[in-house]
Amino acid sequence: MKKTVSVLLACAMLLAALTACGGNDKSGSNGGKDSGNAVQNGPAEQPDSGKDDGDGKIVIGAAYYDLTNNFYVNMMTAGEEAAEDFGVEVIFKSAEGSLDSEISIIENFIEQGVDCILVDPIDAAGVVPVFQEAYEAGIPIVSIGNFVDTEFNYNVLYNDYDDTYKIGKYVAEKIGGAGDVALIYGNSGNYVSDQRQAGFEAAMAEYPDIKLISQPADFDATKGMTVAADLMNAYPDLKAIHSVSDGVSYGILQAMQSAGKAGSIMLTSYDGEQEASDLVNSGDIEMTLLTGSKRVGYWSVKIGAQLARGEDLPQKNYMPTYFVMGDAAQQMMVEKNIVEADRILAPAAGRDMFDGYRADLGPDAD
Amino acid sequence: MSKSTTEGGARRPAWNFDIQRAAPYISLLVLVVALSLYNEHFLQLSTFQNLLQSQAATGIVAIGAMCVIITGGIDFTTGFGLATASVTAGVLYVRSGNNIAVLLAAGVAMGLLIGLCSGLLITKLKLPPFIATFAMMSVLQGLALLISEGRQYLITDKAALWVGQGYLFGIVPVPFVIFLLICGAGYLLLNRTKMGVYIYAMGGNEEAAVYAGVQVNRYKLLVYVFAGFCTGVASVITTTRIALISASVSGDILMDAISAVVIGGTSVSGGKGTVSGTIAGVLIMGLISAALTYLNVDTLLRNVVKGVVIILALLLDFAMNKERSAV
Repeated sequence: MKKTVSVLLACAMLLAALTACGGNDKSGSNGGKDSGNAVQNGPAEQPDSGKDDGDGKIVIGAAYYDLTNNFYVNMMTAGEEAAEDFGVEVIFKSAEGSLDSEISIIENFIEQGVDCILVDPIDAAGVVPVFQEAYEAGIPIVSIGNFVDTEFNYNVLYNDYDDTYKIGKYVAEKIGGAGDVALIYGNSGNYVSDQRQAGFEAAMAEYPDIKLISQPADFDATKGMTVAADLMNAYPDLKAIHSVSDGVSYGILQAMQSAGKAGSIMLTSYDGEQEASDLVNSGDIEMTLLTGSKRVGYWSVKIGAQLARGEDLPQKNYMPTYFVMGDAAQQMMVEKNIVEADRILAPAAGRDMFDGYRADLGPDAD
Repeated sequence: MSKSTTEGGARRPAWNFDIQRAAPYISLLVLVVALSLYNEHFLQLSTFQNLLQSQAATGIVAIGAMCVIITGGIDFTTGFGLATASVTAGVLYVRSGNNIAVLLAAGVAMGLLIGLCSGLLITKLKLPPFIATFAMMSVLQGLALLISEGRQYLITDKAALWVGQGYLFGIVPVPFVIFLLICGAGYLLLNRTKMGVYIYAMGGNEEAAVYAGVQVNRYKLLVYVFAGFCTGVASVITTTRIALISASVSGDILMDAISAVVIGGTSVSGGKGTVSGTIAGVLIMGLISAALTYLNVDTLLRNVVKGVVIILALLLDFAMNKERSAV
């Protein structure tokens, strides 16, 4: 009897969560467009697979870094919308941060004979042999975010290094080329974090009077807040902080506000989440860069669908990114020749663009 | 010093100096002195305010984890449990039109529910705590993302933020005050109640406790519920401190809390541990993190340092246990 009670309780918890998920769906759809339940369309239960026009539906296999992370959940959600828009089926698999399981997921896709494979490589060199296997099996294979340089594969890229470098230039110019600057990155060894760290450090290296202090926060707002508070204590003359991820910037901003330094230290950020655009609007954050987890997810599936249909694409496909900032910053960016005006969005436009990927990148945009 | 135990034969001398008990306080003192000598900016009020504010959540979780570890068990649910409680509270908070009472109540309630589930799995289904809470951890990791759906919300309500960022009398961080209250509750529970006696008894020798007529299962369940309660409180503090509701806030809190407990002199084999030792352990973990920032040390080394500190604490624990059994 008591056993039953405990099993029931565990089930009740699961159920509660599932209902919460289902209930949230309405608010989860974007801008009132047609798809309301993309999340529930799990790849396992595609009712119409195999029975499409002629030789069956196009199937794309996606091996993502780790589906237990906000960023990748968003990538998957938008990817499912792209699948709908471009008429393909996508099978999402999580490598859970392990190169081993990523390789076996890809090998499984090859055996299944999917029409295209999307991979977020855990290690750019480590995936080359399995990329070759896919190539020999005649399946186009695409690396997302991380440049894999072989003749076997395509790449979907957004230029973190260059974009962060430009933010760094702006920060340096804005503070007059001298003083203490802090960089709060993710963690060493993470490709995205490393690129964003290297870009910023390259910009700072051009200014000998700037002292750069780099500290990790593991993409965790809680840690970001603690690290920022300690940094402001240890370096009381800090002039600017750059954070490689919006999620962490929210914590850093709280630390700045508690220390009463929100007005005197300039905070720049990256990712272009809607909340960050709002904070750019209110002047709490100087600027952010819109890559957008959903944009990346949508764009990747779009490229996959094009390749699966036999379209000819270059080895490198750059996804458009935008700098989100206020008027004064925009003026300076353009005057100093750091960024062209057409890559800059005002905060309100940045907010719209985050969810506007269907209009910006969808089938009607071409 | 520790030699005196063996020299004294079966009877321990009254002045005996328990190095495992004293170690955390000595390390704490050494860290503070070393850091103040190294960086002139270290010794100032805001450093300690930051430390107390940022370590409060870890500390609260550690008090719950300590009680579990004293019974000879382990609880892995705290990290993702904190994230789950925080997003559940967050989603309900946003839906209720930013009602702070909903945020506080839902966070704590979810924590209690998590503790209850782990406790029932362990006491009713007789699963070993290691396996039961490990499985729960995986469930909670998924739940946090399911409930939040990858979205996050910023909290701007001043009253809510006071819980995580406010200061009592303009000096003492509110989260730290809550931490002290939990410490007080933990102290009373362990030292002034029947349940406290049973908690130590279960960890010392569970079979003996059963033969002595202790309703082991009932108290074990309550211990996990208490740990869950601590997780819930910590989730509320974390959420209102960083002003952000997100599934990726769990951070290293599980690792940090268990490390703090062990560094604070709690025996991993159960039956031994004090609230004051755990407080010292929590402050040591916080100071190590701060030190790495003040000294501008890289991430990779950061984890190595933390790991080495834990290994040292464990070695001390095993050495002391061996000595005790030799007596």
